[in-house]
Amino acid sequence: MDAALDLPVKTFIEVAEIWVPQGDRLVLGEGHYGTLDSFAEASRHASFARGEGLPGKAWAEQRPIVLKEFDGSYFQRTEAAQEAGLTAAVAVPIFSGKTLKAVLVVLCANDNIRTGAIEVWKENDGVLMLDDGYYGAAKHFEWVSQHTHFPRGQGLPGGVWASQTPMLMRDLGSGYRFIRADSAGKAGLTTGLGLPIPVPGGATYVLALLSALGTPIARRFELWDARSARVGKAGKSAVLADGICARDGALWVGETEEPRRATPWQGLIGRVLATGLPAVETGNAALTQGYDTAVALPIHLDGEVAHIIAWYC
Amino acid sequence: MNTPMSWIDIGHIDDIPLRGSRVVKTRAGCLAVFRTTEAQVFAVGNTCPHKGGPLSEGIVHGTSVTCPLHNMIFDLETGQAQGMDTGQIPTYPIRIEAGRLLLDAASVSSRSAA
Repeated sequence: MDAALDLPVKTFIEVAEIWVPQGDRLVLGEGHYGTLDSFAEASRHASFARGEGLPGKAWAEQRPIVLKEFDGSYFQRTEAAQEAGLTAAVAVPIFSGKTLKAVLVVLCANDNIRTGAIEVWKENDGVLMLDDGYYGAAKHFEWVSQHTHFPRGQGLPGGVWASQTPMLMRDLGSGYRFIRADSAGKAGLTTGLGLPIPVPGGATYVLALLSALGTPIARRFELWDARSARVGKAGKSAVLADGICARDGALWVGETEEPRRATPWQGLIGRVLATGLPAVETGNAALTQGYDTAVALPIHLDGEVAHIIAWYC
Repeated sequence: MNTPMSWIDIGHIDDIPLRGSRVVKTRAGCLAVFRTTEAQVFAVGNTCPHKGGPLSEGIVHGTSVTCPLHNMIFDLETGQAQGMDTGQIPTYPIRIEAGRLLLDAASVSSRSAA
């Protein structure tokens, strides 16, 4: 595939890295650091015990964590992060049952220009409430989110909670299912991806990534369904259930057409399907659909990779 | 030679609230009839081609409707999806005469494959 022709833009997420268990520590599996070489170098030499640093804390506390201030916190690469201009991070643990498969960490730079949102919603007393979130320059939207809660089935987080499936919401400003439409439209947020984050113990978490055109989290989103109830028990595979791309348009097909299918080890999605581990790919246009970078995340449910979501930027 | 159109009276325009809709069952499938202004209506297929969302339950804004499931937006005049998505819903001729809503009979007479 040809390289993307879009003009270069500032992206909301600067760094994406995968930390994987090795013995009793988390070590760097792979990562995308862009031009932030010194932070990449600091990360290559880091490892985290359970409860140590941001990845270790997400592992120990078995929940997604948003960290908006590194200084004086448990974040261990503070100096390198500050030199790189990174000011906030979100860690997402990937569990299969009680087993930690990996921790995804994304880091953002706050320059009061970048707009987007990475939110963690948690069920509390029968509704989803904002556990924490990072919003960049979208301050009003942040305030609205802090004062919004979602019953099961309502809004993007509530829809993900009810269906236990990832959901891709278009045109966030146009209203209806996206409850915070008015504020989202004013903040320039356009596309929302919600996904369930299963953790041991039964707590309900939903992660929402809300992308703006000017400083996108992604310009291509893909939602793959790998549930054996959907794709069949004979031979593991995943089908592209939904997706949109700034260059290719709609990535879904009608009910009468055959969706795209990935088999184990076939491309980036196939790799995630085969290993059950998240993946970050960069510098390989064939695997990143012509974009600079791709992040693919498995969602383990009932002992299998049930869904894979991927975003490209 | 043009075949003269025949029209089916499906109700009065006041049966549909402003920026609201009603579903009409036809041999071509369920249609959503939207009233966008005091004297403007559109008839389109009721099913979103994306995941089958009921468009009649969507939000009407201008001459567009937003699907209640995933916020896909369709132009009610052309049926075309807006934004990054592609796709189209069928549109059906409809007119208002003395307050009555008249739907083109021929366009809804053939049975839908669905």
